[in-house]
Amino acid sequence: MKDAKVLKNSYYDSVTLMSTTVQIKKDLGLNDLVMFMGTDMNKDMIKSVGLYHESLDEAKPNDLMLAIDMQDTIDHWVDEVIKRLNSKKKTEKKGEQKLTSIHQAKDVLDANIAVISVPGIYAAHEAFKALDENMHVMMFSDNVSVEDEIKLKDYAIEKDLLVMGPDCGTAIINGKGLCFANQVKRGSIGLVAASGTGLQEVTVIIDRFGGGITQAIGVGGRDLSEAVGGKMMIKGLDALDEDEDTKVIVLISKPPHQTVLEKIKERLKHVTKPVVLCLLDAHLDEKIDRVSFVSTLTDAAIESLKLVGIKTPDLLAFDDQLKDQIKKNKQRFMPSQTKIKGLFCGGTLTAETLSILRPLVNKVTSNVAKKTDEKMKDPRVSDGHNLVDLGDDIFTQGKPHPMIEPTIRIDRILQEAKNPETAVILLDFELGLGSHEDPVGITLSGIEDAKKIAAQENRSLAFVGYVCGTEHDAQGLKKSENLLKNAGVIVAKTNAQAAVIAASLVNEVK
Amino acid sequence: MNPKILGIDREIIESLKVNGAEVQGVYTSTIHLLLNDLLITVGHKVGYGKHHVVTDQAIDFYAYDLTTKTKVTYEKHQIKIGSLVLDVDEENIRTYQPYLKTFRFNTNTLKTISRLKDMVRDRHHYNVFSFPKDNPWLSYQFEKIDIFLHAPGLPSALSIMGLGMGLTPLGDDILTGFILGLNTVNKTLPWIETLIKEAKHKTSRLSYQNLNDTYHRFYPDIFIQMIEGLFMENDIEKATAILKLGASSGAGILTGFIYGLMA
Repeated sequence: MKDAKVLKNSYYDSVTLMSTTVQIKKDLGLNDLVMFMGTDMNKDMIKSVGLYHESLDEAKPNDLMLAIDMQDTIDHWVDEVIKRLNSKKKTEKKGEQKLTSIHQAKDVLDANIAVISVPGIYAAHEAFKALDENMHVMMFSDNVSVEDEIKLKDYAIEKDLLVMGPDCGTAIINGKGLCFANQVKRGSIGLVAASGTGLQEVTVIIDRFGGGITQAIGVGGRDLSEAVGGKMMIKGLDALDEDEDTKVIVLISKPPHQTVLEKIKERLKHVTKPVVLCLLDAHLDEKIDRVSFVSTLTDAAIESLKLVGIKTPDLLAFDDQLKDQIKKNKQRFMPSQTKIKGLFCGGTLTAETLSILRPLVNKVTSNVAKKTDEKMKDPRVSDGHNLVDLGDDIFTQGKPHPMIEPTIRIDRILQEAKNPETAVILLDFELGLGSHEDPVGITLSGIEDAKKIAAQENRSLAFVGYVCGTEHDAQGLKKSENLLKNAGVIVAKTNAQAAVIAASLVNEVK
Repeated sequence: MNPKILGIDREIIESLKVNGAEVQGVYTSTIHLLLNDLLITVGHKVGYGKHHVVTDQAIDFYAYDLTTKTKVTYEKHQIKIGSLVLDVDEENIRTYQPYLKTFRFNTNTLKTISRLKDMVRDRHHYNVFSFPKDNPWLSYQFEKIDIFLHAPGLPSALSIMGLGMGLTPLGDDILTGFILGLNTVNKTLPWIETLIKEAKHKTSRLSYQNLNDTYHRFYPDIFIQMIEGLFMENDIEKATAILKLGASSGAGILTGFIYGLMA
């Protein structure tokens, strides 16, 4: 059934209209819903797809046209649309105090850390204000120029402060998670990381086996570039070395620039505490006293736990039940099904999977790869073993990050299900602060639909999932894992194990 | 203490004194005022421009219970918008001038524009260079846009005017960028003036104003930074601030801009 409505003199920005359209279509089970300004060209467009209704004739260019195609009549659809559009306007909760500047926040709250999340071109300006007020800075904002980043970090070092970021998504300071972080126990392990989901993965594994965190400092992905020179990685390392509660230090990063690596190695020679250095995808020959070198996030967690006296089981091992699941899934594949399609929300989890799969399967490509021959030609196009970070700018322009809004991954899951070469769909789910309230639950219908699509061509897909979270996260680790298990998904203990399971399913484990 | 205004055009002040204005739309961090026939955007992060009023701090306009038609007045160096009062210092009243600098191509700028095109293609999901072909709404829009970009003229321009979602439909963003590109390399096309006149009744008020301002070379500062970045420093990074505008606005403006330069 088709219907339409004109909202006189109604303006909404395109981001609001797009996100509201997607959500309402899903929630009300609509065939289609469009919301366009009442211009002649938009009327023609609505006519061209057969959604036009004569009531739209009266719409003028400053009016908003709503046109709907629904399976069953929903009387309240207009009210629902208006309610959803307007709900995005309500920003202030009762009892919350509205502070409008960093200066005011410092005065009223006596805050000692500022989280900056404004468009990149303004972020440096706000960060300088915070540093002037002697506050540490966490910059969630990206698109900050490298020149500004260097100036900010130099100024912070001069004032003995931290600048975490730009583009820093995760930190845990004095037990308080900032932006995307999990609820983990406090303890004796301190971390510095140029990697958001990398930091989350290591902290949740530490938590799972009884370890705890003193501080988890993010530094932003560009800190270890030649230009920035690892200023905050070294500053963070120094801070943890001086911190009495920290007994073991973990550093996490993708491979830094060689000159920066040399600086870090030099600094490590003078650190007084044991350090676990996790450089994903890199190899370090040199031995340094008290420094353990690892190349996966799982190993970084295991090694740091070992250093504080906690033993862990082999997190890559397959038990009998898992072996049986793998065997059964493999038996159902058609001959054409030979490829792994990793669809990730976490960038570092994508990078870790690439590092693990590289020696296990033939030719794997990814949009996070640094090596030219491993780069996906177009991350939107599936071809061979692919690991796609859906948090990449190309997928998130004008849209929320998939950790916040995982439904944007569902379209890609369905796309991969149509591809006859797809055998395994590998998924990560991040729980905790900042993430979607139920990232697993919202994805289940996509998994179900993908299986149906494959079944129409007598194919059977294997889904492998990993949930990065703790039992104390609001979403609940066990609850999320159980939802996946009930949907027939093979659930891994760590991101690294998920990669190895995927490789086993396509029979390429060497 | 009242929020302060850091930048406002003198003509806006003069017009406010005489005629006053009214609220046209309220959003989380910006507000639109209707001043005679002009839309004035007020906010902390709106960027300096002839029809932009920049405040010294972020203001949650919803907190002031403002609605459409709320009266706006100016007296004694204060703009009053319902219960919201904004202080205006004389030193922050500006006289915006059209941006008249023009540029010529050389080998380096051609390479830079090519990189800019790659950036729009690679960093944005919705653009004319590559878009999800199975989406009927996008296909409809991009087919028309493609015709305009490859055969720019009044009919093809009118066929995309007002086409698309949001405050500034994608078709208008393309046209804004196209005119910006033409201006940048000092080209004129005879039908643009007619196009601007048509815009007054064929698209939304805000979109018309953007087109009209661009045609008369009154650019927001991010446009100027991008142009000078491209032509004076061969740097495409300043264009990222534009690429981030709206869901598709930024990619639309940059796409139109590239084709306008080459027209």
